[in-house]
Amino acid sequence: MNECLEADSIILTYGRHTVLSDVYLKCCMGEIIGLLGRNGSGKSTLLRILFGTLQGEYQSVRIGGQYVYPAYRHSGKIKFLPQKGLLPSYLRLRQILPLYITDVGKREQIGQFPEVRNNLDKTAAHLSGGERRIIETLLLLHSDAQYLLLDEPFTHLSPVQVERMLDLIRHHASSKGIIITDHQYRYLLGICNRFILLRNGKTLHLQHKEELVTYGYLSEAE
Amino acid sequence: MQQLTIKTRAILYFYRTIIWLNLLASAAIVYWVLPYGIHKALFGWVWIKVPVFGLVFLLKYIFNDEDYYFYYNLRLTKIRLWVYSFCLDTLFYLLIVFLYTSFR
Repeated sequence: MNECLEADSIILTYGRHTVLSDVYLKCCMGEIIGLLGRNGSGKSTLLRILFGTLQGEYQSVRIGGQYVYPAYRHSGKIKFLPQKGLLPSYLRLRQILPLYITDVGKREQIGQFPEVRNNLDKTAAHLSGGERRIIETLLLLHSDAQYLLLDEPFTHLSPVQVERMLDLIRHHASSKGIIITDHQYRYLLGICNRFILLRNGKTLHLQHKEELVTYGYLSEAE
Repeated sequence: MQQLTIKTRAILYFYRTIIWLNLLASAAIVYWVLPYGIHKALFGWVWIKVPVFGLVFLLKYIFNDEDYYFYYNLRLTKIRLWVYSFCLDTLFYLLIVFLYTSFR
């Protein structure tokens, strides 16, 4: 059976301001879902609610039909790449790898990447922003988590590096369900199976790319 | 078992970031309080160790939110990290008191 991560009935308000009110989201194994929305539309907030580190007034998050809240505490099925970075500045990469990647074979595989191989004895504080982001994404992609929530994984990356990461995400998506958000929507167009637009706290499930213009996410010129 | 090892290691790494101030507090107790009697170990724990740990907790808990995602991905909650760190800290303190009484 193809297991899915499913969330609905998410309500979150800050005072009188309703951030999320009518959210439905489903991501199955093998899928890459692009979560789009303008600044402040609640993309990161939604990812944090899915992950379980933020509690709304109400939320229903399920994996394989089973209610999992907070999701991050359930058998390591879900991992999250936060917007502001993941790696603690005081740990060396050599110490971090065995915590996130238990399989020795996969650890050797990730060791082939120059960003990892050349920085094993460095702490995150000594890495460039781009190197750090690549390593963080690689760690999650090679981990045994079934679902990944990637919040702006292409920040600080050059176009060439983004292309490499896109290939990797595409490759790993066969065994994972990935929800990805990034302002570089053009990069996402090439890899996502489906798009969800967050607008006025509601999720709009897009059928065509053109709907991004219809709903005001893109201007006609783009 | 593997999960337990990973979590234990992660907790130790986390505790390592707050160990110095706590060790300093333990050393202060050994130097200034314990010479007045071993029963003062409890006094030192209540009036020096716990407040110092509390201060470190408040500073890191409030001002260092993003670091925790690294641990959330390992299924460790903030509260668990701090509770285990407190237990570890108390264990280290007892060890220091034990060493002090043994080699005095």
